Amino acid sequence: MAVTHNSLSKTKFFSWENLPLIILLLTTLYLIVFQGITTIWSLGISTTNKTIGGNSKFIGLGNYLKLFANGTYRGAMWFTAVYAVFSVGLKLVLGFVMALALNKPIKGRAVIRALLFLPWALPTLTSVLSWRWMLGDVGGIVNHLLMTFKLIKAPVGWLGEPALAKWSVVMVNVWRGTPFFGISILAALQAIPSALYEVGDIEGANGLQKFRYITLPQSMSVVLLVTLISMIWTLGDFSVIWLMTRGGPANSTHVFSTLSYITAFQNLQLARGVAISMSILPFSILLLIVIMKQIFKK
Amino acid sequence: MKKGRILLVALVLLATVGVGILSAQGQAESAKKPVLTVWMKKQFVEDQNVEFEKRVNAFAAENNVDVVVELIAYEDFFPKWTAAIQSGVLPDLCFFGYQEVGQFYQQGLLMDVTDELKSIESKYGKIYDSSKAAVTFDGKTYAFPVWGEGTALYYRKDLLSAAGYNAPPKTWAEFKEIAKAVTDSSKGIYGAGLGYGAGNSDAEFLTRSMMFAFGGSIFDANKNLAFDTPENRAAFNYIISLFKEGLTPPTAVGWNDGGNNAAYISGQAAMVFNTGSIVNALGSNPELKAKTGLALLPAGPAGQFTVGIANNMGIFEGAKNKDLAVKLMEYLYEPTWYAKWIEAGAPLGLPVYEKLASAPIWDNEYFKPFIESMKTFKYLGYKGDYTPNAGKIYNMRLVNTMFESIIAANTSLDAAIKTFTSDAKTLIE
Repeated sequence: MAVTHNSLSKTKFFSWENLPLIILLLTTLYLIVFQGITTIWSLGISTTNKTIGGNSKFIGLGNYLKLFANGTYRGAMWFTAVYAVFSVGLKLVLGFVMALALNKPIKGRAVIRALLFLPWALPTLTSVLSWRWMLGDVGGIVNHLLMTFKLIKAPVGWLGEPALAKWSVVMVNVWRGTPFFGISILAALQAIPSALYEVGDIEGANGLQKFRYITLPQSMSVVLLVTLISMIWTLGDFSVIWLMTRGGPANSTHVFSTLSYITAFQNLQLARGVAISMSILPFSILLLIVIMKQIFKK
Repeated sequence: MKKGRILLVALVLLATVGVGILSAQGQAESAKKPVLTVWMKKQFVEDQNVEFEKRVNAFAAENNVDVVVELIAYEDFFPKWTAAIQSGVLPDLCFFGYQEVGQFYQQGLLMDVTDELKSIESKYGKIYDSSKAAVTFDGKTYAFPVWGEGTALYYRKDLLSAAGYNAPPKTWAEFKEIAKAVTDSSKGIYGAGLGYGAGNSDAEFLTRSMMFAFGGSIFDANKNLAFDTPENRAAFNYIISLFKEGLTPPTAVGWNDGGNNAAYISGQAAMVFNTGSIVNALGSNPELKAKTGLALLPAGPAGQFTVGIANNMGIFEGAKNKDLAVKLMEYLYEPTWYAKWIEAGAPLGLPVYEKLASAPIWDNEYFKPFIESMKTFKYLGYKGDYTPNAGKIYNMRLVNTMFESIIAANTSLDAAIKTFTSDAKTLIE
C-alpha cells in the first residue's frame, strides 16, 4: 500500500497543475546556487587577506576597517550615492516627461518613439565612447560648437575637472537610461482606463489635477519598480564611468565598482576588492526592502 | 497523455545531453595532440599580429600540436589573468608587462626561465642586460624579454623655427623656454603636450623620467620609499609650473593615453613625448610627418633618463605544457623571423637582441631616437632595481593621481605628497 501511495504522490507532483511550483523551486534553487552561494563566498573572501594567486588568512573586518580609513574609498562611497541619486532622479523626471509626450496622439509618433529609445538600444561601448569623443578637448564637438557660438573662449575640460567630470558621467548615464523609464512608464500610462479621465473631465478636473489624482497613482507601481531596478543598476554601474573617466580626475568619479576593479584586478588585492563591492550590499538590501514594501502595499 | 508528453520531452532532453557528452568524450580521446594556449598582447601594428599568428601556427604544424592564439588588448589582460590564476586554467605561454612579472613572481606563480633564456642566448645571440634586469629577481629570470618600447620627444620643426629655435631642447629648462616661446593660446597652440588622466600610462612613465632627470626617484638605492625629497620637489614644481603658466592645453588633465597623440596630430601641441605610436600614425599624414622632428628626452641636472618599457612572455608555474611553451619561445626568438617581426612594428617595438640595434632600419631619422633611448633606460624601481612594489605603485597610477589632484583639484604639493606617501605605504604593506 505504501508503495502505491508514494507512486501516486510522485505522479501528482510532476503534473501540469504543479508546474508553477516546479518553476518556483527551480528558481529558488538557481537563486541559492548562483546568488546565495556567491554572495556568501564573497562575504567570506572579504574577511580574508586573499590576493590573486596567493593564500588567504582570516582577518575579520580588517579590510573594511582599512577601507573606511582610506580617503579614496570614502570618496567613492560618497560619489556612488551622488551618482545613483542624481542619475535615477533625473531619469525618472525626464522619463515621465518622455512617456507623457509619447502618450499623446501626435503625428509621426512611431518614428519619434524609435528615435527616443535609441540611446538605450545602442551598445554601451559605442555610445559611451562617442560621448567621450564628443566631450573631448581635441576635436570634441561639444567644445567646438560652444566656441563657434562664442559661448566659451577656450576648450572646457569636461572630463578633466573634477566637478565637470562628475556631472558629465551623470549626464551620460541619464542620457542612456531615460528611455528605459520612458518606455516602462508609457506602458503604464496606456493601461490607465480612459474612463477615469472622462470622469475627471465631468468633475471639472484640470490637467494638473488629473495628473495628480489619476495618472500618478495609476502608474505608481510601475514607477516604483522601474526606479528600484534602475537604482540597483546605477549603484553597480561600471561601464559609463570606466569608459568616460576611469574614476578620474584625481579619483573624483570613482564608484564602488571601478575602485573594486582596480583594487582586485590591477593590484591583485582580491579580498579588498571584494570588500569594496560588498559595501554596497546593505544599501541595496535596504533599498529593496523599502521599495518592495511600497509595491506590495498597493 | 499529458504525463506521457512530459516524459517524452524529458527523455529527448536527456538523450541530447548524453549524446553531446559522449561525442565530446570521443573527440577528446581521438585528439591526442596537446593543445598549446598562447595569450599575446594585441599589437598596434596589425602586420605584427598577423605575422605572430602565422609563426605560432607554423610551429604547431612542425611539432604536431594544436595551438590556440588569443590576441588580447593590454587592459583586458587583468580580468583574464585573474580568472586564469584563480581557476587554474592557465595559458601555456603568456604576455606580461614587467610590472606584472614582478607581481606574479612575488606570488610565486611564474616559472624560473633563467636556464632556458641562457640557452636561447647561446644559440641566437645576446639579449640586453637591461631587458633581463626588469624581469630578474634574486638572480633568477622569470620571463622572456620580447620587445622594448622607448620614448622620444616629438617636436614641430616649423613652429620651433618660427619662434627662433632651430634645434630641439636638450634640457628640461630649454624645453620650458621653447614651450613658452611657441605657445599661442589665441590660436590654440601650446608648447608642452603633457597631460595627466586616470589610467594614463604615458604620463606615469614620463613623470618618472623627469623626476630621475632632476635627481629624484620614488625609491632609494636600497629599494625603500623615498618620495619627499628636495630633488622630487624640484621636479614636481617644474611640472606644475608648465600647467600653471598655461604652456599645456587647458584640458590636458583629462587626457588618457591617446591624449598627447591627438594633441600633436591635431596641431594643438608643439612638443609631446611618446613611444613610436605617433610615428606609426604619421604614416597617413606625410605633411605633418615632414614638419616633425624627433629627439631624445631632455636632460635634467642629474642627466638624461628614460623609463624603459619591457614587454615579455612568461610561463605560469601551473601551465600544462611548459616544455612546449619553452620550445615555442625559442622558435619565436629565431633571429631572422624575429628581426622581420620587430621591423614590422618599428619604431614602436625595440629589439631585445643587442646585435639588431645596429640594423640599418634604425638609422632612419624617425626611428633613431627610440633605439638610442635604450641607453638611457631605467626601470620603475630606480634608484634601486625594479621591484614588485614599484610595479604596484605604477599600476595604481599614484603619480598621475597626485598631479591630477594638484592641478585639477588645487591640492597643495605638501598635502599631495603626504597622500601619495600614505597610499604607497598601504600598497606596499
